[in-house]
Order: sequence, then C-alpha cells, then structure tokens
Amino acid sequence: MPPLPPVNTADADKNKSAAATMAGCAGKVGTRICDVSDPASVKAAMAATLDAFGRVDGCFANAGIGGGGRHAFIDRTEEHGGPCSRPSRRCVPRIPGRRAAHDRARHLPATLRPAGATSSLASLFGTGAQRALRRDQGRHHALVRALAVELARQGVTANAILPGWIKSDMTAGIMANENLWPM
Amino acid sequence: MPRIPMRRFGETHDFGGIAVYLMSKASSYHTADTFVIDGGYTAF
Repeated sequence: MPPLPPVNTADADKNKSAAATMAGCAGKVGTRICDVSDPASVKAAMAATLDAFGRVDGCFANAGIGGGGRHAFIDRTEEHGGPCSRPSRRCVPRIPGRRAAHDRARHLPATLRPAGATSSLASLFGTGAQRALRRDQGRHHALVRALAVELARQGVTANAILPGWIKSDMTAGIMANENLWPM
Repeated sequence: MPRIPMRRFGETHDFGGIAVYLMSKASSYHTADTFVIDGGYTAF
C-alpha cells in the first residue's frame, strides 16, 4: 500500500483536521504548510515531501480562493484583479510542473503520475461579483488540456475536476444563504 | 436548494471517489478530461 499523499495547505488547523480524517486509513499521513503563491514554498514543500515519502504519485491543486474582494464590475478599480488571482493563476501549473521536473531529474520511468486541478462549475457558469475567481477557474479548465498534451510524454496525466454543490467548511456560508436559491 | 437532479447536496465522499480513480491505474490512459461531479446539476 503506497503512503497516502501529504496534505499541503497554508493553514495549520486545516492540515490538522484533514490529517485527522485519514488517521484510520492504511499508510502514512503527513502535512506541511505550503504557500502555493510562492515558488520557493512550493519547491520546498515538494522537496520535503520527497524526503519523507520517497516519491510523489500524484498532485491535486485547487484553483483558487473564493470570497473577499467582491466588487461590482461597474465599481471596479485597477486594483480589483481579485485576491485569488495571484495564487490561483500561478500555482496550478506550478505544482504539476514541479512534480514533472522532479521526475525528469530523477529519470523515473513513465508510469502513472496523475496531476489534477480542481476548479468548479463556476468555470462554466457566471456568478456575481467573483470575476477574478471565475476567470481563473475558466483558465484552469483550458490549462489542464494544455498540460495534458505537454506532460504526456513524461507519463503525466492531467485532468480537471469540477465539483458542484459539495458540502464543506468552504461552502457552508453560501449554502446557508437562502437568497441564492429560487423559490 | 439549487435544482440538483439527485435532490441533495454533494458530500465529501462523493467528491473523493474521482480522486481515487485518478490516483489508480484504472485511469492510466485517461488524460485531458474534465470531470463534473455535480449530481446532474449541469444537465438542467
């Protein structure tokens, strides 16, 4: 049984909570703080993961951060690119890219090495006052196809996952907002 | 409640299955695809 993948987020409490949900599973669980908007942090987290587990079988990168920075389009300023832009625009290609670079450097054989990018249905539909996040999620949708072509020769598969209305801590607030649902 | 054909919100275990598939050899030739995990929401 291969070791379970470590959980890399920028939130220690979330790491601890995620690890707890896997505590009863076979294999080893590890967590690490990783700021996906910082290339050095991603590189360090990947290196530390390899040191601890020996190999990386797959990566899943989330598309962005919702909430905050919501401004009407007509009231926007040049600074309203959106809080999600920096991490989400750069981190999704960075994470599978870092893993592919690691594989190439170690001359690993072309075996199953998946990379997944989680976006959301909002890459297909419009939502109000979250242009930056939706823009980046749509971008990831296309980016995954480009990565799939480019990384295929290294045995890396790349697919996008678009979750719908999934209950989680992140979606609790919006699900509780009755104004969003049709009567 | 949005108009979800399955008449319920998704749970985390609904979402986790696709990760297991992608991490397994069952998906070794499956790439450049988009997996929509929404209980049929986009079919409406």
